[in-house]
Formats: sequence, structure tokens, C-alpha cells
Amino acid sequence: MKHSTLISRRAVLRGLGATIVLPCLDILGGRTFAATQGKTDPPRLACFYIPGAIGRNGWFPKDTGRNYTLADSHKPLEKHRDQFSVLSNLRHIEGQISGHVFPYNWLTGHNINQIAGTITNTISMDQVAAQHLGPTWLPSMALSFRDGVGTSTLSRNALGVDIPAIGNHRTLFERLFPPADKAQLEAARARVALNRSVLDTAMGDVKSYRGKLTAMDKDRLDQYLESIREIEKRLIDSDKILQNGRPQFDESGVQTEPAGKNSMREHIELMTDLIALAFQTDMTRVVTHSLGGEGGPNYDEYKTWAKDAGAPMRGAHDYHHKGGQAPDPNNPDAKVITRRDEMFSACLARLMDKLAAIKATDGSLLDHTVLLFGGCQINSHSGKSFPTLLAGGRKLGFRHGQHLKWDGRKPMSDLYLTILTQLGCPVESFKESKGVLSELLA
Amino acid sequence: MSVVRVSVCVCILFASGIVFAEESGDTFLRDVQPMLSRYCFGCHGESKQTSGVRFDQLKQYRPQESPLWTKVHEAVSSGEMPPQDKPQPTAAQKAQLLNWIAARQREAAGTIRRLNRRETSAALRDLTGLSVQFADGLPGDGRVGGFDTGADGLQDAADSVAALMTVTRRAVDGIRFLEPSSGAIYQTILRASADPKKALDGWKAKGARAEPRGPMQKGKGLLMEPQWVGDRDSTDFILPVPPQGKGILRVTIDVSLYKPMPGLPNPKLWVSVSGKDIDHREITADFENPQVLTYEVQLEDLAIEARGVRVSISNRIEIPYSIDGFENEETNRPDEVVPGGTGWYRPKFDRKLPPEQKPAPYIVLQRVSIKMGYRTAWPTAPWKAGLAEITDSDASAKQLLSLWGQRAWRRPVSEKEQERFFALYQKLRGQRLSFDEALRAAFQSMLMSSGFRYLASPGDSDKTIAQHAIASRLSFMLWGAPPDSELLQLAAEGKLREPAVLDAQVDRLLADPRSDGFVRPFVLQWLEMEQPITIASTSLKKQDFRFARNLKDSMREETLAYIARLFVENKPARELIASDWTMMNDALAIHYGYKGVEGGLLRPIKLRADDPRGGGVLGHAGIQSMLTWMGSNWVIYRGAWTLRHILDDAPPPPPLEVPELNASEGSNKGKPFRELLKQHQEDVNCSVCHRKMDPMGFAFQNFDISGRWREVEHESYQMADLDGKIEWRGIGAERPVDAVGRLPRGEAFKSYEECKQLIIRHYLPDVMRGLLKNLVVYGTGRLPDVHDLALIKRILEQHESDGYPLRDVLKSLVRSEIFLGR
Repeated sequence: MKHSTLISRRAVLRGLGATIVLPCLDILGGRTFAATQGKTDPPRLACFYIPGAIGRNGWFPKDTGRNYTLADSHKPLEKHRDQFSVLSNLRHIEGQISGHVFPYNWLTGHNINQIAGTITNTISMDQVAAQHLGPTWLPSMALSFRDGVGTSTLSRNALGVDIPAIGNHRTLFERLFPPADKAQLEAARARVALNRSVLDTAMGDVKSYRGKLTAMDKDRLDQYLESIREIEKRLIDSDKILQNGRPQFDESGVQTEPAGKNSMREHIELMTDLIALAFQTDMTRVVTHSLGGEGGPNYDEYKTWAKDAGAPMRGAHDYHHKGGQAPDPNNPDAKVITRRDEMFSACLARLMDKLAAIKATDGSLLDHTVLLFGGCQINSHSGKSFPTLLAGGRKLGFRHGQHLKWDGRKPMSDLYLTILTQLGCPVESFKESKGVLSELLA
Repeated sequence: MSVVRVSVCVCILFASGIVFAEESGDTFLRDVQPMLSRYCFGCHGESKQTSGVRFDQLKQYRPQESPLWTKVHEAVSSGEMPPQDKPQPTAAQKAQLLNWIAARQREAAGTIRRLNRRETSAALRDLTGLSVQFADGLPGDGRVGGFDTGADGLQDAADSVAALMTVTRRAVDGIRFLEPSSGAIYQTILRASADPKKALDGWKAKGARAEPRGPMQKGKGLLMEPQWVGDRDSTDFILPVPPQGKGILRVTIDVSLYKPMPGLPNPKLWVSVSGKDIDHREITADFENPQVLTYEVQLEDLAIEARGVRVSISNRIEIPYSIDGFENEETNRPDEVVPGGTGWYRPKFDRKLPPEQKPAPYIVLQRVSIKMGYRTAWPTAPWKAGLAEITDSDASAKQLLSLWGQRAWRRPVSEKEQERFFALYQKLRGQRLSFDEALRAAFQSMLMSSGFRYLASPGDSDKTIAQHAIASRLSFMLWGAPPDSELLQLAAEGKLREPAVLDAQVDRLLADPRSDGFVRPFVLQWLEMEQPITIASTSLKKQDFRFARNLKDSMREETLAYIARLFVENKPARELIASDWTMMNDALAIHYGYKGVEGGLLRPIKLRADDPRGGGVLGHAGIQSMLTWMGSNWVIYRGAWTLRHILDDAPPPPPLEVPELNASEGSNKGKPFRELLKQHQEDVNCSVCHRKMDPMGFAFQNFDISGRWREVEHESYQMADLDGKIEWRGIGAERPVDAVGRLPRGEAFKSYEECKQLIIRHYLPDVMRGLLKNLVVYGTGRLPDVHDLALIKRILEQHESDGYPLRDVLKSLVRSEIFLGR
């Protein structure tokens, strides 16, 4: 019964705290949207942040070059060996910070603590990409283990302002996929038009208010004005997309599952399923995703790892302090962290499997997607060397299958510049970059 | 006495920096940079950034960097910087720098800020008359100095504004003018029903289901049986989902209490909708005068199951008890002394007994009414007075727009300002939208405008705007909500700068129950209480989590209620630190070992003279249990917290690469914690801050991990997981608690009590300065700059002789230029 599926989809996908289950959907015949249209595939970017310290005993391959020995933490990625590289010893130099605030500047490179008592920031690399890779239904998606700003999100806009992250699968699904059936499309377009009128009227008022303000107050108001302008622009883009229709698939198969599970693995897997779906259907081309916080959450996997490693029960934060800097590979806390890194690698491998299985016009979706996967600490609180993996993007000119290690004076911004350049963004530099990392390119 | 310490320096000084004159609005390059370069770059420049402070990249004064300049001003004017053993600037040079800072801070400061998430939600509730938690649809806010009201933290990205757009849409969609509320209604008056069960069965005809739990009694209603920990059943009402799953769900219930016998505790009513907790409250009303409770929930905020929207109501007992003739089920733990018996569970009784013989309190559900797609008629009753009847006419539209505008913008709105919105209304009518639909869109547009979104400055040159800005500042500070009619009236009369009027308003707002909207967010953020509270009682095993939650909540409420009373009853500042009373309810009384405190409501309780913790915030279980972590590093956390939040002597951030103090690594194994800390303090990187933090933290060693008093401590502690319940265990030898330490200026103490007395004798001005600085951030949205600090000093001097009574100090702040000036 058409009507009831419609209701349940809309009703069911809304909400807080619960997860959704994506069945194995046969979408677009296993091809990207561009492939179905016979067009060239656009580039995509997804950045995943590893919170806390990595387990350094398991993370670093013991040798470098193309014939490097795969490290324990990266074992789940073995079959994708030629599709990713391990990058060691990049870091922010001007932007070196310490403690638990790395999510603020991992992708921006800005020294947020330059002025004590305040946090200033600049645009994040993903948002530079988003400026050039659209337009799509969503210009970008900031995802996280929970909803929020500050350390929950990795993305900052052109003014350095936090872009709130979504931690909830249902909210994400609803935002990603506008209605597809005709009656709903009409209603959605009418709503878009109404929203534009509402904003337009409000904007006139805000502008006349701005005229009366002092310089600092103007700065504050400009964030709002800029955002309204951005939304108006998005509404115009949205209208076009609604008019053209979007890729369709059977959404009645999307089901709800009760909340209350506390598995990070499941959370990440479902998020990456949605990322793959979003890339395939071309609803967005840029994603950031924070894989957890610095002080938790204390998800269930930790219990298993602790049991297996013979470590005492602790909070996630404490495992990192105890294990993140233990030189002894047999230290039980260190083993727990390495298990966590393995899980992250497995999640990445799973996403790579999915992307590799989706056919693009030329090669696979993975070949058109850059996956940045890393964190800021190889030691608790340290920001002196960033553990980093880079995967995918063969058709964008990347050459993988190597462990590259620099001398500690190479800025992470060079990598960001390299990524942006290969994505086709017309930028000459990013933050403190000196040039592209040609070692990574074919 | 220096106020904020930037750092203690060990520096190598080398003057550097070739100065290029740059065109800029201020005289930074001419007057300031050369001096910084000469005296400061050595430790705060390119090669070294002691305490994370760096000057060499600054090229001009920027308002965002104002907090840095405040610190510079304090450090230089107090003589702390440059350090004594380094070259010193001349008095004239110093004066030039200090004057430059003061002048720049006055000229370049921002004065407006947007409403934060909490305030936006409250304002939308106030405007629409709906009790929906609109905040659930909005992103969180950045913090300044720990507060969600800080202007610089209240940013706007496009995604945040898109969320605001959605939420304001929901708010206006919740009101109606000419059109009726059209959603489905499910209703049964159980107490008046000849056959209550049958009446509920009748819901099936409308596609809904009622699943009552407990016996029905004719003339009364549904007797909801108590649930104990582990019980899952609740009385559920399952309703079909409206199209799109959107709109407001409104639930109204009449409930009363029925106790079959004396000695029973009051039960708590829990209400949730589709798994989301909406309310929990103690039920005390008798049958004749039931509590009438109404909840409004936005369906978009819910996780809705395939079965439908589920409204769950339950009766939960969150306190252990037993009464004569019915012993407690739990007899294994005679060491746990609980009033009326032992253990944590319910009394033993035969489940088959009729209700009037069961030793259990019932909640009687007398009426239930649920509406889907609810819309409230607007304007609500209090704002309707003097309004002509609404018709489908331009005149009505104008009148409603004007009223909405005044309320939404919290000030009079001129005809000219309204034109724009009326034009939108007319345009939409032309597109065949109904009166209601077109007006709702115009209303929403007003909500997206600056008048709603921004709080103006009390220093605005337009007197009307300035007066209304004071009204808003007062009400958002002391109620967390927009100003009411009385405040708006006083603003319109231009009276909100008169000291007597302001004093009377502070009294009025504080005395109103809405002042919870001040105390709760202010205290939670001031004392950084939004961290998980650890409870590690070995007695709270598998099934006690609900009791523990009740206890955790109560622990937090103790501190909130305690500080609320200090303000409302104008208590002197010393009672923040020490007193002979605290706020307690039944759960806290068990925790603290007091008898005869019944019910969940917190009330002032006089403490026993021999209670070693005494009164005062530092001894609250919620505070001390919050400041625990694994192992025994509590000393550091507790010390740092006390310096930062109570003594206004916040340690600077740790240096970039901090080694971990790891008690179980290598040579540290087996050493007492005090010895490790000493080692720590000798390390030159750590000593700067730890010399103060560690000795301060020892004052609280008598508080165990659940915030209870202890006389002995274990060598170490470990966390264990028992059937999903976390337990902390003391390991190794016991020893008497060592609470010997020092306050930051060196006063030595041998016990917690001595420490408190020393704080009262020597640190009350510091405590109050800290409190005032926090009130300034919270109330005005800016970190106090040098002008504010000078005024704070004056307020402190003024109250030195009367012992800083809290409400009077707050009044002095409100009357000052800090609050009224900008």
C-alpha cells in the first residue's frame, strides 16, 4: 500500500537517538549517478578523524618505501594494499597545539590557542573542497559520534566558524534525501519558495540593522548575514535539484532499530554506509567524520578489548593515557588501543570494499574518492606527529602502496594542498603549505 | 595581590624585531610593539611561548584578542610582568601601554550578541505559549569562559542558521488564528467512566491502543502500580502517526497519590514519549485536587517506532524502604544502614494482595487526553487584552503582526519596521495562501530578523532601545527568558536606570520560580558541573542504577539549591565556603547518614555539629565526586578546580608536551602519591602550576569517590565491571587520610576544616571577585576587560564591611556601568 509506506518512511526516519538499518539496496544498478547518466564522475573527499592517541606499537610499519611491511593495526586493509599509503611524521608546525582540542585544527592547521582565553580558527580543508566541488543537494556533511560543535565537529566555514556535526543516522538520512515522489516534490518546492521569501524579508531587516552598528558588532552580524546568503544560495540549488529529480531507490526497505546499543563499530559502519550511498547518488561530495571524542564515549568494544588484553576496566580517555605512551608492546592498555586502531582500519577497509564495488564511468567510485584517515597524537596530548593514512583516488592521480616518512618538518598543509589540487580545486596554497607532495602522485 | 597570573617566567631575553610601520587604525606599531619587542618577546615571542602567550605576530589591536590585553594589563599594572630580575620599562612606558589597552578596549568592543540555544528555545516558548523544547532542534553553542552566553562563542554557520530556520518554522506552525486545530484527539475521563477499561478499549476504533498497567477502579481511575528497579512495564498509549510524522503532540493527564498505609514514600511519575523522557516528578496530590500535567512534544524530535507514537506513563519508586510488617527483600547487607530497614530494594509482600493491602504507593491516573497535530490559538490569553476580534482582514493581520513584533523583538516596533513583514503577508495572500498560513510566514520572518535574534546594547544611543536592552539583559540573566510585561512597561517608561527600580526588579525576578533559569545554567557552568558524576559506592550493585541516578541528580540539585538560597536569602559570602546547613532530600539524607528527611524535595537541613564536612559548596558530594578520576589523581583535579572556580587563581594551560604522571610505570611503582607529586613539583615544567594545585587538592582527601566522608584511604583504587554495573574497589593497605596542604598564597592547613577557615579569613575577596567575573560573562556576554575589572574592584570594596551578601552584590553589579553601560 503506497500511502502507508510513505508515512512510515517519513515518520520512521525522524528522530533522536535511534539508528536506522540500510538493507543491501540495489541502487542504480551498482553504478554511480554520473555513470547512469553517461557523464564523467566528479571527485569526492571524505576525512575521518581518529580521536586520542593511536597505539604506536601497532601503527607504524617498521620500514618505508613500496615494499614496506604492513603494520599490525593496518592488517584489515591488507587486500587494499595498493589502494592506500601510510604517511608518517607530517604535522602542523605553526599550528602545533596540545591536549584535547585537536579536532578544532586537524583540518584547519590554525593555531587556535594563539590568544589565551579565546579560540580563533580558519577554514578547514574540506570546506575549501566543498566550495569548488558542488553544487550538490548538500554542499558537505559534517558527521560525528554525536551532534555538536566545538570538538565534536571537524569542519569550519570560511569565517572559521564551527559547522555543527550530525551524530544521528536518521537526521542524516532525512537531510541527504529529499522526497522523491511527485506530490512531495511539489510540496517541497513550494516550501523552498516560501523559505526564500521569509529569508529575503528578514535579510532586508538585518541589513538595515547592520548599518547602525560598530565595527565589532558588524563582524558578529556578518556571520549571520553570510549564513543567510549561503542558505539562499542553497535554496536556489535545491530547487534545481528538486526540479530535475534525484536518483531513486526503494526506501521502504530502510528500517529502524531501537536505540540503546553502544557499539562504535556499528555506529561507524552505518555512517560509512550512508557516506557511500551519498557519494554514489551524488547528493554530496564532501564529508568529514569524527570517529569519537577525546574523553569517550566509553563504547562496548572497549570491554571486549580490555578483557582480551587483560587490562583493567577504564574510561576511553584513560586507556589512551596509560596505553598511548607505553613503550612496552605487551602493556595491556597499549594492546587495547591497538585493537581500537585495528577496528578503525577494518571500518575503512569495509568502506573501501563498498566504494570499489560501485562502478563509475571510468573505474570504480573508490578511484574517484580521496579518503583521508588519521589523527593528531601518537602520544597522549602530543601534536608533534600525525598518524595518517591516505586511500583511494587513483583516477585523481594518486599513487599508493607505500609508507612515506618525513623528517618532522613537513607541514600537514602540504598534504592538504596536494589533496585539494588533485580534487581539481583551483588553489595555490593551504595555510602553511610549501608545495605538493609529489611522492604521492602517479 | 595580582588578579590573574599570566605566568612565572624563566626567560632569556633578547630584543629583536625590525618594526615596519603599517597603516592601521590604532597606534599599536608606534607605541606598543617596540615595548613588547624589548621587554616581552624573549619569553613570549617566536622562539619561546611561555604559558602559550606570544606577541611577535601581533600587528594591531583586534577586539577578539581583548582577553589577552586584559591579562597584559593586570600583569603589568601589578608589577608581576616583566619579572623582577629582568629589565623593566619606565613608568611612562608602562603608563603608555596601560592607557593604550584601556582606550582600545573601550573603543573597539562589541556590544551585541545573538540569543543562544537555551534562550532561543525559551523565547519561542514564551512567544507561542507552547511548552515544546525547541532547543532539541538547534545546534549547541560555543563557550566563552565556560558560559554559553559569551558573544564570541555565539557563532553562526549556514548549517546552524538552517536549523534555526527549521525550528522557527516549527514554532509558527504550532500556532493558529482563524483555522481550528484539526488533529486527532484521544481522550478518556477515567474517574467519571462507568467502565474505565471499556472506555480505554474504545480507543481501538480510532486506530490507537491503550495498554494500562494496574487495576482499574470505578469512580477513581487507573491505579498505576509502582515499578522498582528492573521492572519494565509502564502504562502505554500508542497512537497512529500523522502524515509526514510532523507537528505537536499534546498530552494532558490528571494524577493523584494513593497510599494504602502510612510510612510509604512518595512515588515519582515518569513520562516519556517514544522513548524520550519528558518529565519525572514527585506526586503528592490527593484525589480531590489532582495534579493536572500538560506536555507538548514536537514529533520531529522523536524516534518513532513502526507501531506508532508511544506515550508511556509510569510510577517509579526511587528510594529504598520498608515498613512495619513488611521487611525489605534485601537482607544480605546489614552494613548498609537505611532508614526503616536495610538494603536497597522494596519490602517483601505478596503480589496478589489487593491494592489497599499492598505496602506500595499508587499513582492514580484520573484522566488522559492526547491530541495530535496540536496548534494553540494565538494570541494566548494574557496578551489578548484590548485586542479586536480576529477576522480575515488586513487590519487584523496588522494588529497581530504588531503584537508579535513587540513580543518577539522585546521592544516597540515602529510602523515602518513592520511594513516589510506586512508586505510579505500581502504577497503570500496574493499567492492564495490562507490568512493563517501567510501570517505564520510573516511571523517566522520576524523571528529570523535581527530584532529577535540579537540582544541590543544597554548603551545604545537610542534611549528606547537601550532601556529595552536592559529589560532583556535582566530577564535573560535572571530568568533565562524574555522580559515580562512589567519589565517592558518599566523600559517604556524609561525607568530601568533608576537604582531603586533595578533593586526592586532583582528582588522580584529572584523571588520568582523562573529564577531557576538563572541559578541552573549559571551555577552548572560557573562550577563546571556538567561533567559526569562518578558514583562508586560498593553497595550500589546490579539493580541499583535507578536509585543511583536519583542520587546523582539529587547531588547536583543540592549545590544548585544551596547557591539559589544564598542569593534569594542574601546570605554572606562566607556561607559559600562554610555554614551549618545544607539542602537535602531523602536520597541525600541516606548518602550523608541523616535521618527523618522524607520525600524527594530538597529543603534546608541543619547539620549535626559533629558532621566533619559541615556546610559549604566544597563539601557537597556532587562536587567532590565529580572531581574524581581513576587511580588517585583526584588531588590534582580537585586542587585545580578549586583554584579555577573558587579562588579565582586559574592555573594557565599546561605546556605543549606534558609527561603523564603515571603511578604504575617503572620507578614510580609503589611510591605513595604524595611522593610522586613532590617529584612532579620539582620538575621545572610542572612546578609553575603544580606547586599551587597539588597542596590545595589535599584538602579534599577525606572525600571518597562518591563524595562521602572517609577517615581512611586505600593505597589505590580500581574499577571493576559487575554485570554492567561499574564498581570501584579500594586495593592494598588502608591508611589514615592525609589532608595536609597549603593554600595558593602559602597558608598551611592540616585538615579540611582548617582549610575552609583559612579561605574565609584570607580569600573571601578572591572568591567574590571570581564570582563577579563569572556573573559578568554570564550576564553581559563578555569576558571582563580592564574597565569591568576596575568596577568589580569597586563593588568588592563597597561590600567588604558587610561580608558580601550575595543578593546585594548582585544588585550592585546590576546597578553598575558593567551591566548598564554597554
